[in-house]
Amino acid sequence: MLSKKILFRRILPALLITSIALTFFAFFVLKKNSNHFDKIKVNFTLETVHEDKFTQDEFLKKPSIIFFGFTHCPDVCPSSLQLLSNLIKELEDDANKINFYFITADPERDTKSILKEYLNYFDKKIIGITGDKFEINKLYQAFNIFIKRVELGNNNYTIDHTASFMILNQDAEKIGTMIHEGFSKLLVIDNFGKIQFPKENVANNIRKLLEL
Amino acid sequence: MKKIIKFLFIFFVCGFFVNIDASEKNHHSDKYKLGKIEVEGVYAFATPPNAKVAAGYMKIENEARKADTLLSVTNVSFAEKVEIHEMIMENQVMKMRPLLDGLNIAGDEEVYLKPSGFHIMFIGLKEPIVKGKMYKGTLNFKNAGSITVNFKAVDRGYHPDKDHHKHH
Repeated sequence: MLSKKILFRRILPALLITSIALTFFAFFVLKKNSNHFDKIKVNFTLETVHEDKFTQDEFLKKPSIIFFGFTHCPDVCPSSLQLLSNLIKELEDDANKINFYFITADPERDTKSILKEYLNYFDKKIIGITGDKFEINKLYQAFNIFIKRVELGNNNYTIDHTASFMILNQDAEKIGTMIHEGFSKLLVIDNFGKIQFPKENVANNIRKLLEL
Repeated sequence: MKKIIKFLFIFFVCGFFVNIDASEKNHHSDKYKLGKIEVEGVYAFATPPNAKVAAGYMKIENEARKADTLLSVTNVSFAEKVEIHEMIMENQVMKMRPLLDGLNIAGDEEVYLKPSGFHIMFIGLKEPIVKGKMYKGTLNFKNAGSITVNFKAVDRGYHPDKDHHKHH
């Protein structure tokens, strides 16, 4: 008898309250995931390789596609720049609605003039960013980019770095990424990790994602 | 007289075919053989201005039962230093590591050096890699010995297999 009293007066109400709380919690978390993207919040002052001012405000003028790399990189960086150049060509006029950035992962060796000439080899719409180490570091943090210097001996070093492209909408919200499939193709992935189909039509997937 | 003409005719025709054969061979000089090691499809990507590094690629086939190792690449006049590298993509992070003990090629196996995998890393370029030009280097194997090959400079987007099929 006593145990039944405890069940009705203590345990059941406790269970009820817990379940209501869990429902609310789940509801808000799911809602948050369904229409909330990571907004890139960062304050920095840099210049492009063409000496135009480059601050966080640029991310609010147009959607952006951003790659972090460096000129002493033999493989993934030039491949990425080539694939990005191909994409720009495929986007035709829509390419003018997007800003494309190549941000150095190696501000120490990539001076403005070195990076500027290097990027001349690829599509001219790709904007090179290098400059103060401290300011650029803010960008790595804001975009959650992995950067690690690895010594090779004889004063040489290489840099392990995130090799996916970040896609921002015009509200500076990260709405997806482009990743490498092999080294000859890119895949567009939305913020929930879903690959966009048809896979090979990268330009259209970008248009869809950015609602161009 | 007729016999002599006929003989000369056959002689020249044969000579003509022999010549074609020789030029064909030169055309396919992309294949190198060193004992039981066969190397083919040797190329490097043309480099953007100011690039201080370049990567070289090839296919190495080991027809021996015993494993062999590509220890080093020497005799390279266009770079200060040459290393054999492995690239690893981990959670979209690109990592590159020198293979200090060389690149192992198991017996009866082939290894591809290709973008996103192994590559010959030319460090400290003394001149840019220009499309269409050839760049010399000597491959040093532990068992098979050494052989000098030409890295053909190509544009990015080049695939040795595709290009190979085009010729046939």
